[in-house]
Amino acid sequence: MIYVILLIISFVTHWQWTTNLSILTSGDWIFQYPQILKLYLSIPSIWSPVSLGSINIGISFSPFEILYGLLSYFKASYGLSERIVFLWPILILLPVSSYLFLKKNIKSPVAALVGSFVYCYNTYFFELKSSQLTLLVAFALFPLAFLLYQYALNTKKVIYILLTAIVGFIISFYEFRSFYILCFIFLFYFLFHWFFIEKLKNIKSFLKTSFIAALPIVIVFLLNFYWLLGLARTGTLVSNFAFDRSLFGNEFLNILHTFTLHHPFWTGTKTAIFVVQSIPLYFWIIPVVAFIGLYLNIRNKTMLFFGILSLLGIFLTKQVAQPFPDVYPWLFKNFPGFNAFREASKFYILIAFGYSLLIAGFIDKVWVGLNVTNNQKIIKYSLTILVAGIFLWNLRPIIMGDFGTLVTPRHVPNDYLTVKDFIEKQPGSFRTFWVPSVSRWSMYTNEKAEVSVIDNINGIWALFIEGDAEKNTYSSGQLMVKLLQKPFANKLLAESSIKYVFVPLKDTANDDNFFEYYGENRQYYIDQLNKLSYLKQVNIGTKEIVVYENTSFRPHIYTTIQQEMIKSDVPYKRVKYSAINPTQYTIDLKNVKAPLYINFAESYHPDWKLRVGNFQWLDAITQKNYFLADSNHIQNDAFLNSYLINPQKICSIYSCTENEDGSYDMHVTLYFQPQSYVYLGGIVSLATLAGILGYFAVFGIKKIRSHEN
Amino acid sequence: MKIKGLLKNNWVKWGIIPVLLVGLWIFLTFLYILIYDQGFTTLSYNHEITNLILRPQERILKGQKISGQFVAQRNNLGTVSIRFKQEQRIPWKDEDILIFRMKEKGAKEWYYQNKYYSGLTYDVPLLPIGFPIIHDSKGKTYYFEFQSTRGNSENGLILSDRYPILVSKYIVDKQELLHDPKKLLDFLYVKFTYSLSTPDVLFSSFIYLLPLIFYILWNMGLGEFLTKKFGIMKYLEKVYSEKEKGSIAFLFLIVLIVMYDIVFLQVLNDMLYVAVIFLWVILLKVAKIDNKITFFTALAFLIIAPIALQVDNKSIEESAGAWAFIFLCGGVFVSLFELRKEHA
Repeated sequence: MIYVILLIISFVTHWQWTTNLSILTSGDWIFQYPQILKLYLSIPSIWSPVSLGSINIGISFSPFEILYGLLSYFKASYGLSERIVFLWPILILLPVSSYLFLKKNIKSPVAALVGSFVYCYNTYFFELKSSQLTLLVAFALFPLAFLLYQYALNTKKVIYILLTAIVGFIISFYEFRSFYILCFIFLFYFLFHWFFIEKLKNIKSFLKTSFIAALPIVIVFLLNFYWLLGLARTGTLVSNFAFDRSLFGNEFLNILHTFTLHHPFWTGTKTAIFVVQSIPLYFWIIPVVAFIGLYLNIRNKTMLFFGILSLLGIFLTKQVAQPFPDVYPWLFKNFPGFNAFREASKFYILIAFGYSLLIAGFIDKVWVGLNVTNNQKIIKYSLTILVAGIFLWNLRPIIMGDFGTLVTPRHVPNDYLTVKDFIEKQPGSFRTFWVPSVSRWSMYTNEKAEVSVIDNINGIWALFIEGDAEKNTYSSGQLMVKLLQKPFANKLLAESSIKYVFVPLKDTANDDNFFEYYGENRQYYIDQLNKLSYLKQVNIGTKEIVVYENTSFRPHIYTTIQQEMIKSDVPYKRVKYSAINPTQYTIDLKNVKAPLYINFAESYHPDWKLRVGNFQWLDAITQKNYFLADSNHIQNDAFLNSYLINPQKICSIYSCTENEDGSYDMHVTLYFQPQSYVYLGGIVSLATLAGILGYFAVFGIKKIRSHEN
Repeated sequence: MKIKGLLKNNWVKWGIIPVLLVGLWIFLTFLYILIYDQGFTTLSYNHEITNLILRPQERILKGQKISGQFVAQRNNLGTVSIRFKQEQRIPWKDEDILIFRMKEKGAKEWYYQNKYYSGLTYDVPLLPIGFPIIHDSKGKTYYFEFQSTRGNSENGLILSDRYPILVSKYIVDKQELLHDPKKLLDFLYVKFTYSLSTPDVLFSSFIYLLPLIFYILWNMGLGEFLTKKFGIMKYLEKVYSEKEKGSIAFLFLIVLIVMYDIVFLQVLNDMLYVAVIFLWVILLKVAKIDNKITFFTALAFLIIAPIALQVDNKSIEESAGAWAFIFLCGGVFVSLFELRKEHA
């Protein structure tokens, strides 16, 4: 019955998620057309063709992306897909998982119910509901994962170990950083279990329990092996643009916000991003009640563990605030994996999880202790309603719709649908260029990637505007225009295979006016682009979106006799090529007599290799000299790949077809070598999954038989 | 049993342990002085508030400035430090940028000027402004000003009203000290005595001295006397046993000290938290006092935070929160210890 109540509260209060299939998108939570989602129905790729191409550090999301792909394959709309993959799981898992866990650790159903409200309706989780649903799904499963882990340690049964691993795997593919946090919760709980619960006194029992404790984590790592191996080989696992960023948001967090489980941007209505809010007085009831709960249950070992967890959460989430302000920066710099947490708010989960049990413990004691006289009963009910009310009150902006963000339905502006149709109808492969930034509604595919100028001037093209940026006098918008005004800009865009340039809408209707972030208004960009001689404005039927064509654009793969340079006009020749997937392209070169360069308009990476002759992915990592020597692989001045092909030299080593006139025909494969590790790791992951499913099948059959007997 | 026996030995009881505690006091005090002075060879001199000529009472807004002058106490003047109130952090791009200028009184040209972001004041007791060392500074008067270029009601700094607001710092030649033991001793004496005139150092040092004070008072049986003498809440006598009552006075003193820090000082010294909670836990264990007092104390500090919120005092709020956290950690630690002991 309580589960039904919890689900009803969950579904009714989030009525925008349950009563329609509208598009919900906000902030970092992007929208994707079903045509894009369908592309996910493929083997995970370690190279992402987005923008100018880069290592796909989001490859760990592949399982839910495949689910997205599958739903799109069956013609599901984006609104339905995001509900099936994210929104409805959140509405179901958050209350069910937390109540299940609390009910197993606190006997009183009312206490567990209030504890579940603490977990489901705290301000941090509401902030996640504004754009970080991957994290929220993962966090929704935390209580269930922990409960299974408790069972695994207590009963030492294989079924619980495997169930913990499966839930851990789901958490990991929704958001691997949350799994990182979960690993530490497991580790601390194992140590606590070892010292205080099981009190292991001999090596044998210690080793056995240690093995059981470690096994779920090892299995999750094996299930994730398909991307761990690949990213490890590229070095991206420990160093990538997300991990290499400096600490951020010191000004947002302090010990008062963490104590009160109050997110600094929580206003009670719409989130005020990056504007620290004061803590309403009634939020102070939360820590007081939680720690009284801890004190009243101090002999309860699990409660004590969750007290420690809460304090750890409070300590980490405050980031650089007092006390011990230097600890977080030290961990960020030195502790393996901690650099994935450039701001500490993700550790709010420890407080939410800890407080849910501590507050449940408080309510439990209130219900046991204040149950004799009428006055006691009045106090009991009042306290319960007060505590539950604090958290349920947070639902108000969701119910009323004031919360905006992901509870407000969005509509694709017609202009973007026109752009989408236009791009889809265009033949061949090219890139689109969005000034100042891509819109959440812009269309792209693997062959027609979109490039955001702001991302590139802060990334791969930063060097081109270094002098201007150092002056510190230009806005981001002005820097973007400065780049496009450079004498080599035409060639840079051409080499990067950029065919169309778009100035998107000022989309205030969808609360997405990103122009304000870059210091210039929309008209400024249009005026400046109109002055560029290499761009020709074209009418594709849009009313407001302005489109330009770069007529000198070059194909994704082409050849030149000289080395390609952005500062000189090098003649080029089209070649026949096909894209197998984002990590593999085949090229047919005919009648090659003299040395030439193959130019490949993906951002340079040394692991893009070139093979002449037949290609096998396993050979790519097992055979020596399988690829053309790295000395022939050049990073050109547009930061893209070029390969020097000397037919005489190459064909003396690799398999080519020699023509009668002495020229050569070559079948060339361009391959991102770490993808082979994805395939290899994928075999390990699939074998592990098959093993687990096999065990479940055998276990299920045995159960059914024993039940029948 | 052996340890208990050893502790009853008079040499140990009145000799070795007090000496160790004195050593601990000196060591920790010196450590904090080094942290506070930001270097071993630095000597800090506190100046009176009257040294400030322009002293805005509210936020320093765009165009406004602090100015002052002081007489250098030694040669090798290298830093001037100014104390500001601790405020809520704001994004660095919104911070005020202040221009510091300094010259010898009467000079036409500024000796040094530079820009500083207001965010540098976070978690720093005094904002240190370094400049090229003035080797012949002793006895000369220096004029300085610190002007806001974009101060507003959000980012403007507020001068603290806590002594010292203005400190001048002088570098002493390390080689000279190492080669001349007399100079080294003189330097250590001066450094120690001058530092102890600073409330932050004095307060920290007093905390570090508490173990020795409590140890002596405990062994003299003064704890129980103090409890009775000052009648610290008579109900305690009902709550606690005779043995416990002895140390209640000590715990009460610790609470008062922490309260003093929360309300008046807000000393930014991590070692202080460690020292206080360590002392608290030791007292609990020695006197076998119920750990509930730790939780009650923590909750009391926690409740101060929202009260401070009502009077809009950020420093008190954060300090109360920090102390509440430390006491909760202490309470949980003792509970863990007791749990483990129960099982042993």
